[in-house]
Amino acid sequence: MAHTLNKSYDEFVDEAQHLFWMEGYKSVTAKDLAAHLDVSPSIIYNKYTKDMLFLDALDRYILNYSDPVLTMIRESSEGLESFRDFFNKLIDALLDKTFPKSCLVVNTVLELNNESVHVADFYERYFTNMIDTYKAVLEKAYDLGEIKDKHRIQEYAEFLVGVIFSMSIFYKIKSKAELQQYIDDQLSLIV
Amino acid sequence: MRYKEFNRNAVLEKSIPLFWKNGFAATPISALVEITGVNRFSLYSEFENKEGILHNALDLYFERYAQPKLDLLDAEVDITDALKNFLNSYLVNIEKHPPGCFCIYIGTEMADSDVIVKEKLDNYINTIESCLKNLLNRDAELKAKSDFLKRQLSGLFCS
Repeated sequence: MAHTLNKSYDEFVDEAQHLFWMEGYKSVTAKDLAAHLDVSPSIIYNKYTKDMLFLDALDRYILNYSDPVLTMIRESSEGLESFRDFFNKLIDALLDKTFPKSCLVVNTVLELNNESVHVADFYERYFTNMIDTYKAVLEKAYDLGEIKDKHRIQEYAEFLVGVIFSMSIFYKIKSKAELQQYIDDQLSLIV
Repeated sequence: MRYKEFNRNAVLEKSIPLFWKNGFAATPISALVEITGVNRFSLYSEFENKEGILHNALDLYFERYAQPKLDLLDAEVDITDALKNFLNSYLVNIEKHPPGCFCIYIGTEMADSDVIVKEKLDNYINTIESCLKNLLNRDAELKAKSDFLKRQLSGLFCS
């Protein structure tokens, strides 16, 4: 019997992404995926496997969530102020559940650490791109006179990557005003 | 009268690495039975359900593992050293469990959906913040704000 799939692969990935985002990787079984995607389990065993859907879900996270905002701050003519916009957007996404549960990449780092080579490759690409973007913005801030020491740009970029990790846990227990205060405090450390 | 045939804390102690390795949802009760050597019936009668085991395990983690780390912030050493010692204490790679912090790990998975976990996480972070504040208050010029979590957590994937 031929199975006709009524959705595109990208649509499957987006739906699978939501499940992984809420439940993590390890606790999701092929059966859960099949039920969530409304397909026969044989599709998950033979055609679109759990690992394939998971890795593609991570890639689509970059495409749909991460790249657009990184491009935005890279192209902005502002320096440190564009970080404030960026982090405030993150706060909104966390609180209004555009991000259904923390940041998908942070969750994955915490859950899988370096257990999978493919996932570790993914972090590598993700964080390298993030640091490069942050550095581009920090260079601008330096040109604008907001940063005095050019040599600390690398250090600041790495510091800012850590802020996303803190936000991914703080939003669960702190108010919006506290989160914004936290961002302001972090940015005030960049001089 | 029936005596409990197992040590409550020993059971929780064994459950911590399991939850920490797999997360809560991906840890079946059968795995807890296996690692603790206590049957399902006794586990449920002591802790009510799997959530109950986790909540008590978090309390034990705080008491046995997190509190000694917090004590490092109280030590009579240079402020910078106290901070370094505290942060590094989360990064040690012991065979028993992954580096990082169990509360943060479980909080990431569970705090959105489990109010008790959320409460414990909130208390934990508040306690850390107040310990940091006490430490920083030793020096009037230092502002009592913490960026500890970022370092602690970035340590997780650096390791």
